[in-house]
Amino acid sequence: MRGKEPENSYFRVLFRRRRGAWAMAAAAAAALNLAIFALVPYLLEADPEIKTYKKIASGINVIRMQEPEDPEPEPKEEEKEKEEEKEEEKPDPKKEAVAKKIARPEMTVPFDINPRLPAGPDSLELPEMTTPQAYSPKDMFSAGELDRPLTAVSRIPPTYPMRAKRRDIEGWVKVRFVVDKQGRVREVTILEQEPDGVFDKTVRNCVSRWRFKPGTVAGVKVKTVAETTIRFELD
Amino acid sequence: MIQDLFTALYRMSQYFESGGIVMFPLAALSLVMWLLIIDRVLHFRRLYRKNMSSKAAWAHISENRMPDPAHYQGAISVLVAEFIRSRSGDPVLDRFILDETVLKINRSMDDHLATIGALAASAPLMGLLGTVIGMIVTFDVIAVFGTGNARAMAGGISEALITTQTGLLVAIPGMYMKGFLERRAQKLKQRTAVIGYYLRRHL
Repeated sequence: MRGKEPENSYFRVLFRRRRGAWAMAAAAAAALNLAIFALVPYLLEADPEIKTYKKIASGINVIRMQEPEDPEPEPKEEEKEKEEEKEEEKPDPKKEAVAKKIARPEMTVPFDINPRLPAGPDSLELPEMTTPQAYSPKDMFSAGELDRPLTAVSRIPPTYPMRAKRRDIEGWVKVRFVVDKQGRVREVTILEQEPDGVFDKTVRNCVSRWRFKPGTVAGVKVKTVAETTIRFELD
Repeated sequence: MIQDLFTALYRMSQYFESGGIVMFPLAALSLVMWLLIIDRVLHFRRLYRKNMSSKAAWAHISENRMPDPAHYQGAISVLVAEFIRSRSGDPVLDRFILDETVLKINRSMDDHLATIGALAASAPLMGLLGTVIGMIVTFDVIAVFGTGNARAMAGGISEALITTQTGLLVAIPGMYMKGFLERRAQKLKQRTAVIGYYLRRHL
């Protein structure tokens, strides 16, 4: 049946069929293996690239749109009126654009804008010069309105007063100060303190020596009002 | 169409490359295993179809006539042909010769099944070997670059995973086909044995 060519015709036919079957099996096995190994890499397929791109883009948009906090209709109207008034003047468009950018948050600050007031801050170019108030919304920004949080360049911790240390006094001081366009600290005011009159001197001394990177709004350096609480704790 | 084919071939070569050295014996193993499986499938199919009835088998033997290969090609016709070729004419001796023929045919049913089983069982082990080699590569990379360089480690890790995957993909259908072929062989053996007893009674 197997091996050498058999004598009988029936076995000769069988033998030939056997050989044909082997040839067929070889061809089929080769094709099957090729198919399996060619298809396996497609099992590892992963293509969610386009989706993620879309997501990232929309995310950026949402963040950028947030800038005007609560656009009240009233100040906008006023701004329009002002612009209409000044159409003849035609100030330098570049400067105006910057001024507008800075001016925008001022409208949202709780500040009673009286439309009947005589032309006070006439030009949009120089709003901060015309209002010399300490915390005027024109030139002052709180830390939350900045492009990025205030970063300290040098921030020396206050010295613990000897008197308090001797008496085991712990406490805290809430302080407000203004970081000017050069990054220096000005106008340090003590808002609250606990206990009274123990730590305020050392806090004043040390806070006024702090240096910051000047805060920016829309890329323009501005004065910033910042508040912080300094805790005095004995270890 | 042809473009897709080339892409598939290219990806296959990339896949082999990232699988490392174990991929080649694995592919050879798969090739041999499927060769044997397909041959066995064709063989059993031929033994199943165009079979003789027991009466026709007895008619052929009593007339001492070889079966016509165009009509009959199943397991029983092979048995009849083998018996006619080797029969002696003495009825007592012929019974023993018939038994021997049945045994011989039944033994040939199991021919490559054990090999197929062994190949299918060793494919995942070979994948495991590839995994170990891949992990060694990874640790070599860690020894040089530290754990910070994930990109460099990825080569070894992908080698480890791809060989395992391939080993399993070879073994799972192989195991199934082995079971399938064993069931077929069992049925064919029973059928031949039944006809063998029938012919033995008539001799």
